[in-house]
Amino acid sequence: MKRLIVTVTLTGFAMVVAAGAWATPKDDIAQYQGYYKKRFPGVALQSYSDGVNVLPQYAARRANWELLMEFPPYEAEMDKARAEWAKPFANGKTFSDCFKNNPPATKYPYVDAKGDMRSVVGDVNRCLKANGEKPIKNLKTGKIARLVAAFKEQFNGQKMAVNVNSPAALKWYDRGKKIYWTRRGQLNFSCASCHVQNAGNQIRGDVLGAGLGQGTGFPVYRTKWMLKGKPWGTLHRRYAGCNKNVRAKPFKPQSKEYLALEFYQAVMNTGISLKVPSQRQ
Amino acid sequence: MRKPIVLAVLGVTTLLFGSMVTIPQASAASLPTEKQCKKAKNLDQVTQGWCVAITRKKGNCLACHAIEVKGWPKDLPAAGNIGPPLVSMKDRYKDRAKLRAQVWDSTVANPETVMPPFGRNKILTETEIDRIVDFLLTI
Ligand code: HEC
Ligand code: HEC
Repeated sequence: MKRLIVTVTLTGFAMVVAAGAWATPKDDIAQYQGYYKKRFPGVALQSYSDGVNVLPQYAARRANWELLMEFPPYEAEMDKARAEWAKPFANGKTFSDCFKNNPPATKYPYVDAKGDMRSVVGDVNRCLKANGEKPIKNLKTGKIARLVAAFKEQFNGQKMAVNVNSPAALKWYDRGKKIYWTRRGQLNFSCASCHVQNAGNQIRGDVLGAGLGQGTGFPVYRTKWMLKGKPWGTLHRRYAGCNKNVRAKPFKPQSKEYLALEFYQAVMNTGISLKVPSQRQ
Repeated sequence: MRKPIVLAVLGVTTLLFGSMVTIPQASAASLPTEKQCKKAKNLDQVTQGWCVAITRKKGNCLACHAIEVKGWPKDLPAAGNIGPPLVSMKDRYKDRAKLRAQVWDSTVANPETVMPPFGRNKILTETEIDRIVDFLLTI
């Protein structure tokens, strides 16, 4: 049997990941959050949901973002999102009828009784199918992102508390963790290379945001995407963008790989409040 | 009124680099920008190295390193700070092979580095790496 050992040593902490010899999620959370606390002592845990805007290295540009937030450009879009969420299906039922049986947004994604990973995106499409409606095909932008935003915003201010208590959930967690820390692509980066090891550093003109908090603001409304006519982006759209930047083949939105990654990141965000949607530059 | 000005600027640039055979490194008032690199022909090896280094789809070294060199073009976007500024290379690398090895596969010297292995992963060709090293050894 091949034993895979990935060692990542970073300023401040060392982490050994070996098949069958994982640290518990609880230890991982303490270590991961502790790393950022040391690296950015002035940044409160709760503010990590603001993404790169919260880092001292981004201070000069934060002003722009704050100005934008006085009249967030997504306001009209959110009205549309809420209407889409509330609009009854042909059979008279609504999304809320499905989601009242699901966990709160703070416990997403979650592993169901069959061992499948359930994301909000996936459950929106399940709900559509269960009610005889067509599922949404574009899982990166547009309506799917608006619906996810309309669901999640109802839990804004509540703290992330994803469940990793079952063996099936632990398996998903390990898979996501491995993807997060493993280098990929021609340029040889892991997610951690940029968002842990180099958080706060500048890659050309861009400041690299902390991995902590990633996802708590998603879906996001992004200026860069707005200029291309598709302002909304799901978390998996963002993942694909980061993969492409390092010349790694992106996985499909809602693939097992991205679901596992989303789960791992959600666990790391334990205790950070949701803030959906968010504006990004 | 805007367009003619842009065209005029482009015209001057084309004139400058279209007819240029070599840019003598020491006396160059300004090194070419990425755009100018694309258009320029018959550059000397050192300037070719500079061009490979700054071109995004090639070395993209500026993503992580400032480069301390005379003739830095004014309109080149700011460099990143993930890696140390590239400075005094010719004094610090008496051994050309060692510098080349750092660019070819930086993970040999430091397995945790985030610097991409330009040779090992075929991000750049062997010749392009040679040109970058030629350039680095002039600074
Ligand atoms: C080469 C560097 C690099 C790598 C590797 C990278 N990213 Fe990113 N990522 C960025 C930059 C730059 C941004 C934009 C600034 C920011 O928000 O951090 C970003 C933004 C993000 C965001 C948006 C954060 C927000 O709140 O808006 C998420 C989520 C993200 N990355 C996740 C990942 C994941 C997961 C991986 C690995 C699969 C990854 N990134 C790999 C550079 C990288
Ligand atoms: C994604 C980031 C990144 C990119 C892109 C990058 N480097 Fe580096 N480089 C680093 C880091 C970080 C170091 C520090 C040494 C280490 O990590 O082992 C380094 C170190 C070096 C060194 C040794 C520094 C010294 O002072 O002795 C040289 C030379 C170098 N890089 C050249 C290059 C060249 C040439 C390119 C482009 C072809 C390049 N680098 C692209 C991150 C990068």
